Amino acid sequence: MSSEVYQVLSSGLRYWFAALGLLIVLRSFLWLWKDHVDKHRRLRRLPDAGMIGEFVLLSGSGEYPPGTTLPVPREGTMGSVRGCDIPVPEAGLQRLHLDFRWEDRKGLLIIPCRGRYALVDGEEATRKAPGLMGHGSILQVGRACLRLRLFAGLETGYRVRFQEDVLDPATPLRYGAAPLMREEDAPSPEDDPGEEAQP
Amino acid sequence: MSRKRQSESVRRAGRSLVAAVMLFFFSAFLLLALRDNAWQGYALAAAVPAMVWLGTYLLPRLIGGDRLLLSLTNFLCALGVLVLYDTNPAYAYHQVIAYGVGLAAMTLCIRAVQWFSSWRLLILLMAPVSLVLLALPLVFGREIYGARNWLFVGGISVQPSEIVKISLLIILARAMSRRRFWFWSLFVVACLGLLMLQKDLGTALLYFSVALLMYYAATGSLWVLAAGAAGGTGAALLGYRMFAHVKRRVAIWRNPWADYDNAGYQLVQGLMAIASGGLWGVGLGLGSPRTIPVYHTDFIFAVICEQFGLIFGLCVLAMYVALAWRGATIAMGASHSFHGLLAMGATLMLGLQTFVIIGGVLKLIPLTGVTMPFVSYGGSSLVSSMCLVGLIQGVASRNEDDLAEDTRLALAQEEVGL
Repeated sequence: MSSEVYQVLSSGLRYWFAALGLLIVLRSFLWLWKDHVDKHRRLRRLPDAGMIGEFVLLSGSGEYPPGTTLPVPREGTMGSVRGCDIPVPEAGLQRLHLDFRWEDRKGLLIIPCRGRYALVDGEEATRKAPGLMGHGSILQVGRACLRLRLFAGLETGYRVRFQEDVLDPATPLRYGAAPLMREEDAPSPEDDPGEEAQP
Repeated sequence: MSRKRQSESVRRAGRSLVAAVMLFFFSAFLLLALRDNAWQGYALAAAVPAMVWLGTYLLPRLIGGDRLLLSLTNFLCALGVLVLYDTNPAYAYHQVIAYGVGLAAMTLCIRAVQWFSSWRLLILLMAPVSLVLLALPLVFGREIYGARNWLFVGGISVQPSEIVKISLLIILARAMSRRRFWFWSLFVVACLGLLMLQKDLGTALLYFSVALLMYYAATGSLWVLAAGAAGGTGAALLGYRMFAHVKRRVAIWRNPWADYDNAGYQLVQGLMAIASGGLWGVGLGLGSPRTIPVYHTDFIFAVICEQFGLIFGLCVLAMYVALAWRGATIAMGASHSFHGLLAMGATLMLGLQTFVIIGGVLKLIPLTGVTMPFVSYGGSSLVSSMCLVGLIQGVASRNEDDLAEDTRLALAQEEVGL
């Protein structure tokens, strides 16, 4: 092709390329927008998306009444401030108290932050030996006592160790204030009749 | 998986986008083939649209991932090949090979994010290897354009800082998701120190900004962000005082016309090319892009603006914005903090790199020696950019799996009557 013809052709095609460029950009943003709407519609049908269950507050929080449910995401933090994924406003809880994450076929891992204290089914969880929770497990942090209720269909390889300790909301709590004790270590009412367990 | 769930309207938008991309490259390569009357041009006119189609439709079927992200990545990569073929065909052939390697690396990254549930061991291996890789150019490297950041192995040149980018993101995402900030911040400091020794300040700026913004994304702490920004400014001032070539670049940025035929020549030529292109450009294959020094790497955006015009240049910028938007959406949709931070870090890395180089070419900020992601000539750069997209794609694929799991749980809840 001669250079003159090429120049005419190339100069004419500039508008074609600019138009295609604009079309590609418009289509990209249209795709982004439609996908956003589509995803929003799907998520509206799944109000519990990203969650694995809920903690039921049995007792201990000054602000929330017993029976309050707190949704549990697959992974996150628990503490006394609203910025945490599970905020539990309670004096015994630090601002950022513990990390937790769901592990498939294992359960919910509870990893207390450095220097923080948490009991899972009566056993102390530490950073090196995180606590493992299954359906019905009880978590005690500060004075708050929470029971984990997992959604149906989740697989855990974990069996709750202290089935007899799984508390009913109607049962008065044996675990009073932190540091918390396991049942066998706790003083019996005969030893100290003045110290009744406080809900 | 995602394909089945996407609504018809989303699919229609996708089909027309891919058709427009294919049409663009078919007509552009055909035009260049008619000019040169060379078989390579005709081959590219057939092969590039075919690769775009395969890359957008076949690849997600095989390995999962996000189609829009793939479409945009393929468009930008093919645009780089087109501009390089026009200006210097030898570079274009190298770039096509790097694109193939990049696709393989991207697939590997997607698979890694899909498969690995624990990155602990890999990270313990990655961290020392990354530091050794960054230290190698100081011993065996060669100084190019003022920075000693290149390695030459068996006739192939490699920029280790491009490879370390990927490991840096994975290490930071893992450390921040596990809230182990201080130990791994030492790793970032070590990387920055090695980059400063190489005088690769553009990459150091990228590493620092991405680490700081990832920290902010993980903690939401404005104080740390402000303190980091203040520290970064201090380090920039120190760099300005310490390095003569930084002083020179700032002086060129402030007034490139003061020394337009010497130090400011590159920037002046770039600005003149953009201006001569006007709104619609001079036409593909016309103009004089070769008069701009390093037209194939740092100044490729000026070449695009000259040949296709400012309107098309803005379209290219909008595509980067769409890519970053998509990456951020994927990051925010992740249900694991590690995946969210990984996708956010990769998006930030690509977005900031684009801003730094295009800002430099347009004289908004001083010019730093980073490449334009996907478009600029350079194997290491293209492969690392595609790896970053691979990480985002892997997270997108995990998000789809998580959404499928949520749907399954919702159905199980319905079955038990909750």
